[in-house]
Amino acid sequence: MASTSNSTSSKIITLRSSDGEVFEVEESVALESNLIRRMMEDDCANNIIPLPNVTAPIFYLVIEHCKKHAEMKDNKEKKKELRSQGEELLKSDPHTYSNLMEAVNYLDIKSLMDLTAQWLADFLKGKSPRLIRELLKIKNDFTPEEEAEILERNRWAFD
Amino acid sequence: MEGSGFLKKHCLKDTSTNSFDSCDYLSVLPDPLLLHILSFLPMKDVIKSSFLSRRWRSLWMYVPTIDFTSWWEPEVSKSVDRFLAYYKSKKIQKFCVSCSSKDVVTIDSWIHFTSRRDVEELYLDFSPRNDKDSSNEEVYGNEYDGRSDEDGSNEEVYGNGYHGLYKLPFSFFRSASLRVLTLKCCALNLPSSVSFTLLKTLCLYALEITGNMFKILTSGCPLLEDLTLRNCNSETDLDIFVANPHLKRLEINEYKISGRIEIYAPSLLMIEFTRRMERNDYSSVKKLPLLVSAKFDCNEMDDDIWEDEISTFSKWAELLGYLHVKDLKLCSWFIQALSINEVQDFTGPPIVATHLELTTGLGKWELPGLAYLLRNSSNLETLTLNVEESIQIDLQGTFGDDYDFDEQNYWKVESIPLQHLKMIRVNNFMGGYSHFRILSEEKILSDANKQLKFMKFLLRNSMILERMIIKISRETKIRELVDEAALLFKVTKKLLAFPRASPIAKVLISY
Repeated sequence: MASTSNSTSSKIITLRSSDGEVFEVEESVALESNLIRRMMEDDCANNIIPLPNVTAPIFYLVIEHCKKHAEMKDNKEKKKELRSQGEELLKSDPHTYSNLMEAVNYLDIKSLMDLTAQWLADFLKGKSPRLIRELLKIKNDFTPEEEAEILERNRWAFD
Repeated sequence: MEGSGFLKKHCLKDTSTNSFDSCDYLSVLPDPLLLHILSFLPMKDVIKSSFLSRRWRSLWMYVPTIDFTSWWEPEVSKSVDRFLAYYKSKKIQKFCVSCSSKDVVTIDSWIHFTSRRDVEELYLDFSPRNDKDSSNEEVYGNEYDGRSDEDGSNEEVYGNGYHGLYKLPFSFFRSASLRVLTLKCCALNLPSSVSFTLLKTLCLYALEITGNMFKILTSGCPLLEDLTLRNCNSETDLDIFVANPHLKRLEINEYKISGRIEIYAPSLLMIEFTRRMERNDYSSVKKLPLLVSAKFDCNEMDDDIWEDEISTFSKWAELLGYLHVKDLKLCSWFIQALSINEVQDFTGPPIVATHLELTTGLGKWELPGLAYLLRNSSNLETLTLNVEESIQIDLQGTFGDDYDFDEQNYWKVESIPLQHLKMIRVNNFMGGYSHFRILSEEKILSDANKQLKFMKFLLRNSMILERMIIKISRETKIRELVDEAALLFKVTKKLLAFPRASPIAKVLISY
């Protein structure tokens, strides 16, 4: 069967994660990261670029999502699919989610910042604070007095 | 042993998750990240986040995006007032409000509040509405589901009564931080000069723009690149005058309007017409010397075509002749309008575009229009087809019968040498069904067949074609009804076997 070829042979960038794993990434994907872009402008182009704040499994996730994001530009179905993946991740593995969010922030990738933020926003939307706490393991550390105070202060928004 | 490495890793991860199970991973994220997340939430949920824990208690008072467009109507102004009284951040990224109140003092105070905090994006919507409409269906303009308001009950027809509208204070029109501005349904009460030094994107929605307002407003926006006009001057002529050297894109998005349109925008590169094109003359597009791209996405035009209208349809073919653009994008309605010309053998002026992007369902009354476009675009080098289920025009009277043609064999008998076409892209092949469509196996197969016939025609007529790239849509609905693997195999086999006029043509198919 025929298939599309990735005929455009672009430059490959080599990056090393904090745990020493080496990644070879197409330049067009790597440049989604403003951090990498800046580092390349500062002339590390031919060397391995170190990423001291990102571990290999998380960096792998970042690259995957960068690629998917590039693909979805003109595809509504894909867009929906990508947006719906957040709920699963947040339910099954909030730790990885928060690592991913931090990595995306560190690497300064605007499109993924918005995507990952949207994931959590979609997840929080319409849920009660109690349910959110339970799902995301957020500990209610308010004293009963504090809780009453907040309720009093913010009641206007819910009447 | 099988995959022990993976398993080990997997277990390790599992145990670590378990041992930290009680840990709250989100609250450790730094403030700017949590605030970024909050800015994607409706206001109610933003405020609700304060109940989660101490970490979250005060974050909402710093949220960079304040969006009161989906707030329950009667309480909007009071709630915005409350919220702003608690607000702590010195910088507002984006402030959006939909509010039918005409309480000048209150609204003025919000505007001062946001401008003191160097707001970069403003969305101010003062359209009258009743409670049930205060959900934010219409909020960002381009996300509406246009067909649902076919009756046009409350929407954007406020023709007779601009005098009762909120007037923005003069001070509003001086800002060194604003980059994106949307104004909906207010009175454009301009001072003698305007200064939006950073404004790049401007959307005016249901406003009455008269006299030299365009001149005053746009001359104060030296960086303006993108202008959208939605239902402005709905009952009067729309004279667009934008001399800005950076203006690149203009979108005219209209619905139930009348009058003439005149466009003066010498630097314009892209123009888009969306929803409907009901003004009585669009010929002023010929005065846009630098235009490279034009898009007609007028799928909300009336589907019922009456016999006395038929004679006016030549204007759509003529319009394409006015456009000296490289890049032309047409919706299915427009293609059907061209069909009406084609079946009557009306030959319009040549189309100079080298790239055509067509959204089509390949329905019966789209076929002659497609043929018209291919025959009249002698420079065509790239053809993009977006397959999407289309609404078919409904020809009233006898026209449809008088000019009937054989849909089944349409491409078989047609022959149009495509001498410069090098590249064909087809997106959403075998897909593009609307969400509401109830599908049957028969329908899927017959649609696939229609699309295959057109592909066959294109391959047979493109003399120097280099590539045809077909992206097959894999909609889940289809998977439920047919043996997908078998269908894909059959379709692929057919596509690869079609005779090709160009010896170097490659057909690439992706799933």
